[in-house]
Amino acid sequence: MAYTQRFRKAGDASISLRASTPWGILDAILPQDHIVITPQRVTSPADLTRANLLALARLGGFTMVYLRRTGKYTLSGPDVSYWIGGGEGYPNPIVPKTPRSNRIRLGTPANLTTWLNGLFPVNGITLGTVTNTGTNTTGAIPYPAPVREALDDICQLTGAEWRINNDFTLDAGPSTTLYPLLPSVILSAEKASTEGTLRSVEAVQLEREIDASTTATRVIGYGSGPETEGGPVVRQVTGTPTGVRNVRPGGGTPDFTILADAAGIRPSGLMAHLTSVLNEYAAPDRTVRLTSRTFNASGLVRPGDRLWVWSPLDDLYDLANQITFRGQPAFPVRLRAAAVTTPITSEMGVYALINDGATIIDLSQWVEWEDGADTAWEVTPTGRKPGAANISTSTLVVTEGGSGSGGNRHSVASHADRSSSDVTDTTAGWTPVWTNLTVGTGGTPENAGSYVVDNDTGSMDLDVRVRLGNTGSVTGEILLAMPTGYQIRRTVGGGPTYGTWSGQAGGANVAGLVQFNSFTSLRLRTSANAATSATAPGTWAAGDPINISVRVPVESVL
Amino acid sequence: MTLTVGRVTGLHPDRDWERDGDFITLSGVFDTAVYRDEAEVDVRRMQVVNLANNPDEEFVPVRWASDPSIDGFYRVVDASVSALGPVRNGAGRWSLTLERSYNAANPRMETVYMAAVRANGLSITSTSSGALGAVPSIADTADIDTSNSQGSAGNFAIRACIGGNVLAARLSTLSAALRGSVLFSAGPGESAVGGCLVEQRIGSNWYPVVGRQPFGPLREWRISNGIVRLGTAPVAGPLSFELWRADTQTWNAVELVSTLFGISTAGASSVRANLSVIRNDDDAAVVRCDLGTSAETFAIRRGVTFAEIDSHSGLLPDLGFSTPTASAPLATATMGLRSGDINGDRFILASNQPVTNNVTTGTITRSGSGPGTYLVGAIYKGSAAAAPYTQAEVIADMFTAVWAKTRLVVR
Repeated sequence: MAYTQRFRKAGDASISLRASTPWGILDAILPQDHIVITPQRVTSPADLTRANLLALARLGGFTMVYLRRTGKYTLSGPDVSYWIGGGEGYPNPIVPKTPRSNRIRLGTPANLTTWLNGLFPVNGITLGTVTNTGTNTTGAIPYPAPVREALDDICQLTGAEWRINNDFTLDAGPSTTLYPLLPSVILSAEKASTEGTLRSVEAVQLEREIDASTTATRVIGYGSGPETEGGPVVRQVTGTPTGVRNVRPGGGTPDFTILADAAGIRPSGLMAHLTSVLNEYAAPDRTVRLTSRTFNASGLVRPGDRLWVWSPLDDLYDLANQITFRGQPAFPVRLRAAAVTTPITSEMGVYALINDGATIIDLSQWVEWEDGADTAWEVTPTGRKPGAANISTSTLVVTEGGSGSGGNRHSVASHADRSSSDVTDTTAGWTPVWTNLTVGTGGTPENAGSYVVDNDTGSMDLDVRVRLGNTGSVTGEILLAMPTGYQIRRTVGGGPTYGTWSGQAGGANVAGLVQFNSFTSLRLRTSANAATSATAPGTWAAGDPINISVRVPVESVL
Repeated sequence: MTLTVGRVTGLHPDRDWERDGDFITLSGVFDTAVYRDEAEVDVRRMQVVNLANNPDEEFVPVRWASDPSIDGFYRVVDASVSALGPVRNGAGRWSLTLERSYNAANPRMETVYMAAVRANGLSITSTSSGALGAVPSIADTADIDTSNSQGSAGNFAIRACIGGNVLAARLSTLSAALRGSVLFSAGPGESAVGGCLVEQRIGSNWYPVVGRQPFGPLREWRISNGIVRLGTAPVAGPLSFELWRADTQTWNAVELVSTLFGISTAGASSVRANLSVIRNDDDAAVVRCDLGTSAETFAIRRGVTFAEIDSHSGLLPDLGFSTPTASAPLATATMGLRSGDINGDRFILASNQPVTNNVTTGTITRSGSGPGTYLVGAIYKGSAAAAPYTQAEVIADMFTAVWAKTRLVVR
């Protein structure tokens, strides 16, 4: 019996109509008709237009998909984001098979506007204001993928957030563009007041929660294998959680590892994905719930908005922020509203847009109002650390399925090939070191390969890569230093052609020598003493990758 | 003998009071010894009613000379008064239900504080000292525990201050923000010594305001911490700032004029009926004057020698001494200026935003518009001031932004 708005998740609403509602009214409403809730009643018939009601619907509206009769009629359903799909477990609209922008399938980085122009409109949701973030991303959206998932992924990769407005438009852009960094509302236990440009909202019941049960130190994920080989790929990311003691009994740091579901993620994006997963688990979940009796509080705050919260004896403060509040210094913590639940009260108006507004029915007179109920809030903190950065999409989620960003916590990024932005892997135990790489026309090492677990041998295959600069001949040798026990073999760029594994490298830092002689031919030496290839140098096209697989004992990686 | 409950004095309980476990029910009349006129009874009835549901004081000290067994700290569960009726001297009746706190007679108290360099437009990033909190001087100083300090290596000193407080937490330097707490013990007769309060003048008498509900409009008011006080002037003038002279046991007053209040000439009176009490406990006294969409908020903390005037006005208000004396800019000229010695003491006008000084008129004027905080300070004995209230220390105190709250804790 209330209207709940959520930040980057589907809100929902439920209203009840009295049993005395005429059948003619009830029969007129079908699931997927849109219900609009306005802050005041609109009485003039001339004002009852679709456009006008959507403009007035500051409190939003919902699409009725659920109807129950228990003496009275209950209409309920999700908010307007229903039209981009309910996410996992629900039918979803999917991305266009032929993207509206070709750039989605190109390998060159594209900005947020380009990406979203390729996706929208979807189910009547059109793009509103899209502000580029300055971060571009490449890749392809696989077909078929749910629109909501693709939207979340695009926003995550470009550092953007999105929201769907009540008029069926979607805004996207940097967090601080959608929601100002400087709060205009402060929540405290004090009575409501105006503090200069700040509006003070009284919190009746403040409840603070810190949950460290999911705080982790490491994430291991199995992703899809490389295109050239297939099979699972395993990687790990470790970190030091904040906000917890991080000491195990007897001393030392504990190990709490999350096994992340990363199926479908290509090796090149796996590290970035696991890093973002670990970020979500790197600190305890902090939740603040409060209720407010301040008049029209939900008119002041939308989900996603940043708020000051100041209740020092409830441990809600942040010494990094100093403002003047009620004549004295205050150190409020900056939180974001994740969900705002508003009771539907008798001064509001409820209207059914039948058949997309072809007919408009004023339901207000039959609604059972909830006068006197409090507005409930849920806000998620940025963390109470001094100097804590703004909340980012990866740390938004407080509890899975609870408040926070869209999608489940470690949602699987369906972005596949980010080949031109491979991540340098420095946390996986071994960083390939190349020497003499500038031989010929100069090249760049790309250490980003992936680990392929070989359960039979208890080893992992690490793909490392050399990309040569200019077209032209290359003379001489390129050297890859390897620790003892490592093996190498070649994988030639473009094709699933593998050589055989070399013998294990001998003493410490014995070189595996790699000599190129042509694009399709590669010779290896497994030790400094092995014979040098006598084949003449070959030629390469600019940017051709030369892949070398290195076999690594598992325990030396994890 | 009369009963004192928090700031309410002159209660004369009936003999048949009742104690049930932690609860005490008392009722009686207002003592004729302090009864002056019916207006005073009205004020006292308002004070009694305000004892309950006071958002600033959860527990209040209670003392009764006739029966010290009830002396201690209590939560006022219920407070009621009856209308003026056919009772003796027309004094009216009151009734209180009190709930005893843990270890009521001599509880442990904790002052929680947060401090940072006051946000400013003067590029000030550290202060040389800062008064973080004050405890009553009667409290056993050996019992004071300042060890809980989070976020900064505090260098605390316990120093007596002018009005009878002990400064329990005083930093030698402050740059990074910090928080912490000070533990001490105080009895019901001690805890309010040197505490802040809002006072209101009804007729010719000043009364402490209990809670946040003054008696009628708050027209003539002052906020005080026992060392300095700020309020409507006892003599002509819109605003008066006073310093307690411990040697002569008198208040040394300086009149202030300001466009903050729409008044620019000395001697004009200003009666604003729309003031409200924002906070009113031992740690701080705050009142607010709403002026349309802007507001001026006046605040005093415990144990310091300055008052804060927070202005939301978008105007360019100025603030000055009504009687200019030989004033001089402070070391940081855009910070403000000081007066010459007035009756042996010295006064400071400063702001956290840049100002221009007029040493002739003794006035400071904000250089930019927008919200800002004015600071009005006093230096006891002026040029001969002693630590910890020298001019440099008072200015450092002014630029230390502190929030503090004292509460009862279990030993």
